[in-house]
Amino acid sequence: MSDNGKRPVTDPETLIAALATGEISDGQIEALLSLLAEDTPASRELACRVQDTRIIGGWLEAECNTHFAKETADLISRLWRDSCRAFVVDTMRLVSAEAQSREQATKRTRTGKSSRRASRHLRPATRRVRVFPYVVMAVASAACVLVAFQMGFFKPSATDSVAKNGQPEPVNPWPPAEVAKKGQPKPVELESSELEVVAATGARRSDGQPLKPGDHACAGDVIATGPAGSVTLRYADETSLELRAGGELAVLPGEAPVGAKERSKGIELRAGGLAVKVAPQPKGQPFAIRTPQATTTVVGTQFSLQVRDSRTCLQVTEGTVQFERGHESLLVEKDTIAVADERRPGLLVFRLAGNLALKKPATASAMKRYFSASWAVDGKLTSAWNGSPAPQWLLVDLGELCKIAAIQIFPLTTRPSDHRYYQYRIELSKDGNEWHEVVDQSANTTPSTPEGDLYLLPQVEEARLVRVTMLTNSVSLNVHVAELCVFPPQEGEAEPVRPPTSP
Amino acid sequence: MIDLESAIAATRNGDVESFGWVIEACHAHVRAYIASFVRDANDVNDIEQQTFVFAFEHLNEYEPGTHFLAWLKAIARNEVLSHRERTRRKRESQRLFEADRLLQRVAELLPNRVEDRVSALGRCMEELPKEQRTFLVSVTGRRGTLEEWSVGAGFAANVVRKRISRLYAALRNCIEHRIVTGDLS
Repeated sequence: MSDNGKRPVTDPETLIAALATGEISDGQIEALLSLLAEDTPASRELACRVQDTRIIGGWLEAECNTHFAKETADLISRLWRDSCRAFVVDTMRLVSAEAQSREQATKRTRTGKSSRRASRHLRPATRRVRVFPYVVMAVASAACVLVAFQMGFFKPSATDSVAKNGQPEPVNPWPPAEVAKKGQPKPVELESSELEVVAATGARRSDGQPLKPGDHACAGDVIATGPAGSVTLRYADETSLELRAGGELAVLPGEAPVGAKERSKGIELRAGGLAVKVAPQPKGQPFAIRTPQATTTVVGTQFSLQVRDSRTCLQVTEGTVQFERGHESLLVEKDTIAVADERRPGLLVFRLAGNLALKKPATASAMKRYFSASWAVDGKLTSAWNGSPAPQWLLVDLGELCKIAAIQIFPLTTRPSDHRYYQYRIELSKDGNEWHEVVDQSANTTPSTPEGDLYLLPQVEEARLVRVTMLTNSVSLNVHVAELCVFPPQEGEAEPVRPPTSP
Repeated sequence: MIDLESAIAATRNGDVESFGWVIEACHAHVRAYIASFVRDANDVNDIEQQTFVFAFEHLNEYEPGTHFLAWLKAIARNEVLSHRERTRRKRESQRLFEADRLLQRVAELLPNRVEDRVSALGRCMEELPKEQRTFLVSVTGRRGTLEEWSVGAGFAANVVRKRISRLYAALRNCIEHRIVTGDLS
């Protein structure tokens, strides 16, 4: 359907079909525009078909994007909790005042039918709303959405295609298992150390063969994602891995100790980011992930790993993970970042609780309604500062001169398939007059990930003000920072990373 | 079944979690409406979210008992217009957002047609057989190309394309039929 150097097909039927399948090329859009150039009955009929096709497409996108609705609901819920309480209180006051005035008016005119009509009219505003059923429904709904999302939104499943309420779940209606029943070979069951591809975009094996859902990856296989690719893999025990854009991993042969029922799992992450959710592992057979700088061993938890710039960065979001480098080993707990850097000895640890920027005063050159600068330092990745149009800056005042060893920034990402990238600079200042640039990502084209970007400063800096200048968002004029973390040097570690000073 | 008015009333009375139900009930309508003006999925996401945030902020201006969806769509339309104006002002000289020109031209040729058609589509979707609806939702939410999805589903890509075209045509006919007969309720 794409141009591929050939003349695009200009038949209206073909153009509308291409619009429906989402495969319409720029040349075909131009062809449609030329057909719609004049205001004739034929062009109006074609315009109607284009419009209806887009309306249908938008409706279907919304149905398969129900987690977006959940995110929006969560966002508004947070808005209310964090910023809008006053608004709701005001609204309640207004509603209550309105109801009182209506009630008084009703009392004055209460005769026959008019009185009954007035009281009916008042009912929505004055009746006492029972909150409990809504809370129960909201919790149940949230749980359902969460479970569906965690199980993989489009994971092929023949049994879950119809929800209890009769609405179809957005799953593949012809999962591989069903296709197999129709005459194709039955899929091979996964070995304990083998992986199944759940979803893949632009991911390939080392021999260049593209990966597709349902493929298996065995020991020795190397999988790489392109600059805008990603792949989600799953073991038989539901342990799942999501390799981000620009990543590469190799599947390691698992070990099978004497008496063990199954092989252990192993992965070598060579580059890029990897989000991992590990199901409880058999006793004595932890799941190991090797990187060029370190080894991560886990028995069941949730964390992410990122290999970038000769550095492995581990961020634990649930449970505890063992992180090893050479003879050094440490247990990394929840909300802790551990770094193994080839240019630094040992392991570095940053605790989110030690974030110097947390809840510090923040300002920005521009803020969109309800997306204030303080949301970039509120300790939550689910809320963000939003400035528009780019470029815009965000400034955090640490309150006093602080020693800074590392900075972590989380530009906003909305979902795994969102391959937007941000370009930005980070500067430090002691007094607001002289600024010293410590991070320059003005030429960055690597998509941002939920793991954020951690920068170890070449030397410990002393500063009070941190300024992030967001230059570009690749998909929008809005620039966002979900969180900005500023970490002090580790205890006893300040001296080794400080540059030698002359006597 | 969600009682929209009750959820709105509960939200206005301080039970903010109920607004989640409001969004669940309306977001397909709102997204379809926005998608008729804006082609880029990221822009549609942004505008959709801004619409609901604005609606929440101004919920006290909504008159209970009137047409909530029409009120939401009016907000969405304003957000689309603001988005276009912002885009036009900033990127006037760079030929970005070219694809939206198509939908702008369509809107010029067909003024004041979208809202009824979205309502009609809602009814048509309810009538669409479950298997066909699931197929369309799955193929729309695919990751990767249509070819990749088709291979995963065990079908030739052209078969899938033809099926999509047929179902879209059936839905377009259904919308047209409802518009002509005035059956939008």
